[in-house]
Amino acid sequence: MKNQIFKLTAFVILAGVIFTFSAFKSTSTLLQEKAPANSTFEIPEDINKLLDKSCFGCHNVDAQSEDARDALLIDKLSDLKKHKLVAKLDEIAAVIEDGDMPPSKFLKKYPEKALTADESKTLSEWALKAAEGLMK
Amino acid sequence: MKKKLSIVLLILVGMFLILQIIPSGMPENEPVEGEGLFELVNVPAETEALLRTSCYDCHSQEASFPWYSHVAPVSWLVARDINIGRENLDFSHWGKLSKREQLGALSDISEEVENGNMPMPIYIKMHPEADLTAEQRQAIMQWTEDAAEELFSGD
Repeated sequence: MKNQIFKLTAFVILAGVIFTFSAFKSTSTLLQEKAPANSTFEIPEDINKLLDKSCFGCHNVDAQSEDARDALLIDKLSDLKKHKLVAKLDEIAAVIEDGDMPPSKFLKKYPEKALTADESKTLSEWALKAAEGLMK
Repeated sequence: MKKKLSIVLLILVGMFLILQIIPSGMPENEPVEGEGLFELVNVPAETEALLRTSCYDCHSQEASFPWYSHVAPVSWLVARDINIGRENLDFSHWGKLSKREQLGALSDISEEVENGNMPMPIYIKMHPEADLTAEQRQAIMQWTEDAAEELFSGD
């Protein structure tokens, strides 16, 4: 009897662990899944990490805030037409440079999501360069 | 009692007249030759009419002012709104924008119109004719798409 209870408990724990792992997806997995296979627009790994840390939480298709979703969907960037993508990248660069994003209200609650000065620079420079590349 | 009332009334009228002397800060309102959107970009006539009715009062130097917009203190509020509107986007100076800035502006126009942020609901209350139907919003969005494509493909 004791053995049966032990086996059952072990099974439940194992099932729980598997479920939790399958439910959790990292941003990069999501980005890879949602980016069209033939897309020429790729986000470098270091930029992906920054976006994942400070932007993706509010700017993805499943995010809660409608305003944030309307403004930017990082997981849909590569679906945009080139001219729209240029505009979005320029907008990303501008809001990061101006320090408007991530919003200060949000950072009060999640200070660990803040971008350092170097990270902001890396992100905005990448966005501007990527937009420039698309204009060629 | 009657005398007191007339004195108060006189003071109020006097104050109102003094308000009119204070400059409202209303910006210039003359079309800019060679720089206006409709001079530089191909815009279908219907869409041009929509932009003129729903956007141009705050986003161009071709605003049409109702009489009360010249009367302080309303004139101050109108001037402030127009200055903010033009700072964000001024169709009269379209030619001053770089190609990338124009792409950004077209993208912003499309989003603001789609989300219903523009024309501003408070403006629509005062100017019901500026309200846009779903079809009219779609027409503006389609124009931004066409104009951006054209801008992007042609040099």
